[in-house]
Amino acid sequence: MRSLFLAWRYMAAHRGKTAILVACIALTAYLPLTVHLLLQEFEQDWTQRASATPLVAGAKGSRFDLTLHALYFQTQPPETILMGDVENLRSQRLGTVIPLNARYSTQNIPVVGTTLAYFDFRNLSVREGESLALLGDCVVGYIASRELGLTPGDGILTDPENVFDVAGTQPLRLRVAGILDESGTADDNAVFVDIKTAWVIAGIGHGHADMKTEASDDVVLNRENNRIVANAALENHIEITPENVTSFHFHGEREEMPVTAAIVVPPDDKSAVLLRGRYQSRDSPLQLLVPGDVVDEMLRLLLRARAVLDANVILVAGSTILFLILVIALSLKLRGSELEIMFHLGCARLTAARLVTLELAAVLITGLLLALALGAATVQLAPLLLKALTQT
Amino acid sequence: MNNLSFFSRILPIPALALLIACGNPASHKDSDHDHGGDAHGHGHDHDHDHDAESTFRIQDTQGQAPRVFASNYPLRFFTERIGGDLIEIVYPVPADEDPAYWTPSPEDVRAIQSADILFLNGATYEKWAETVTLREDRIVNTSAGFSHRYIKLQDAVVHSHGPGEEHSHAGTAFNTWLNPQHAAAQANVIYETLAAQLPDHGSELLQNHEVLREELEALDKRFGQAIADHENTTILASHPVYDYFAERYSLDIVSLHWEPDEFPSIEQWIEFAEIHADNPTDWMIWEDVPADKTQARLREEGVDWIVFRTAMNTPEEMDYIAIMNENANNLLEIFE
Repeated sequence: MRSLFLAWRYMAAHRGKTAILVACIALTAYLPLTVHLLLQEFEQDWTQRASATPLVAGAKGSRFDLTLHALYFQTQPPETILMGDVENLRSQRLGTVIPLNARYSTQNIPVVGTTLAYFDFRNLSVREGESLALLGDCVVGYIASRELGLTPGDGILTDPENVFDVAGTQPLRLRVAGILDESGTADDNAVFVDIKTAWVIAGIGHGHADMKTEASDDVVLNRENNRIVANAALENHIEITPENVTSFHFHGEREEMPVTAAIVVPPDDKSAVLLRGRYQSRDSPLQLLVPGDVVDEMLRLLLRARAVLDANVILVAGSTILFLILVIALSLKLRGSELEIMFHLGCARLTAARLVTLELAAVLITGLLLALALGAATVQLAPLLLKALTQT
Repeated sequence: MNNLSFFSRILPIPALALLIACGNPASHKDSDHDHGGDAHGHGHDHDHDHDAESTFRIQDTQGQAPRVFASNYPLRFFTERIGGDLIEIVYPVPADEDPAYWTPSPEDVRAIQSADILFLNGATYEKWAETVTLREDRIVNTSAGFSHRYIKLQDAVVHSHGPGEEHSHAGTAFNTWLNPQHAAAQANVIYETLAAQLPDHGSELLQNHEVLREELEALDKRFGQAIADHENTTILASHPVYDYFAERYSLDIVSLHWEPDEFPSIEQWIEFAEIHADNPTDWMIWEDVPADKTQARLREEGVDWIVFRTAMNTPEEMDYIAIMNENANNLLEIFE
């Protein structure tokens, strides 16, 4: 106890030196520890969502883009597939097929067109308001609703696909039907609409005055029997209301409508294998991926990058340890006269050694605890920090 | 939890950048490798997760009578005849409204969403379905099996506006159930769907279906006998709803757009005179009894009439078979 007191008094008397040593140890441990914690969280999150998604179907091309698109709505697959392809998948009767069209956004938050089966599949429930019912309805993920300050009954405009294309598709005002419960996944930061609403956002479906009976002569260029030509002044509705909903219609067959990806949920492994087998040929218009495999592959690449980082950390840690040994050795040399006086006063050599060991242990433990605290704080604050970085 | 959501949202971007920085060797692999790999090769962990996912069932009605939505009266009739007490019918269409032109309220949509099976007529009948959210994986298009025999409407408006291409809102004739053969095919789809949903009640469903099938066959025979030797007869119709019936029995039905309870305008009578001149006939069929004034005017024009109900919505007294039998009796007036 006396040794502990003496060690503490020594460190208190040499605050500056002790603080530098603690900082050296803390910073050396902080980097690898934080990287490890962050990657662990990251891997866990990715693996969970990927393994909870049995199969993803989409256009042939980058499997990383397709998987990330279907799981996180972030990247865009190079090509879309058709609703007819989705119907073909359904016709195999080997699982539930959930189409997605996540090409559009509202205030930079992805707008995901899908079917009600998606909410069942992801166990998403409405905490406030109602689920999708009419064309133009949307349900908003928990975080998105907080960020945009939305409540049921509010309206939000979709982002134009290209701000420089003034003749492009018009934004559509979506009606917020409900807010989803927090799920802790990418679904929290998305706005969900019926896939038909996504096609309206794409401009494939629209609503306007009945050209046979309601359109004014100002917008009709030519009216000949059942063939009517109007100019671009014919206004399309930018909001779907109970009054105008019946005027909305789609151009083209449903089978020709675009789908960016589809999630396939086979009832068992056998069905999954059969389905993958049927879409394996080069002639198949689709690729069918196991997201777990794709994410594993991505993580392996990331781990390869982490190995380089780890090697760097080992070198830095090695040099820091050598530096610490040097500092301690020099410190002991400087304390030579002090230790000599202690021996002359009758202090045993073992007691002196214990005193120095206690001082070092206290510095080491304090440094490591500080590193742990900093690492935990970084993991907590990382969302805000990195979001701020990605927005600047 | 927030951390997880953060990773979901933010990290795909740096992760991709990291992949690219690593040279992304996997992206150079033959795309067939995506599918060609070991189908079982995603390890025990994934198998376990997949097993957990396999418990996901959208249609899980174990222990409860499945709720079945039918989009018009004929489908409702077939469903109730086949399913009996084994099912619970969902039919939010008001009795006085034409289901083909009905617009469901959000509450109606939620009632339909609560159904385990949605029997739709197809053939562009349910135009309202384009503007509501339904459980698509539960939809059964009862006419899909004879979609190649849909009759395209001839008088659709073709239009264009703005930079888009010329397009039309053309549809198909949708009163498929007026052809008893189509009706039988639709009833068969309903039977097969219910039998798959209720495997423990297969024999009961089969028995119900057999009875209905025989009744529909008898109906087809009755119509055939009524019209026998009178194929290609020209008849006027108050509404363009008899296309499938006309096709089945080789009748030449020329349609107007008249409402039974409204006396036609002068323009409509002029159009009638022109059509009648081009298609001489003594008979006109109506969905319901025409107004007295219309009856008198038709007699002046030398045209008699009968009622041929389409049974599109829930009748107050008779059922689908009885209505069709009455239609067959009425047809005998023309052909006897």
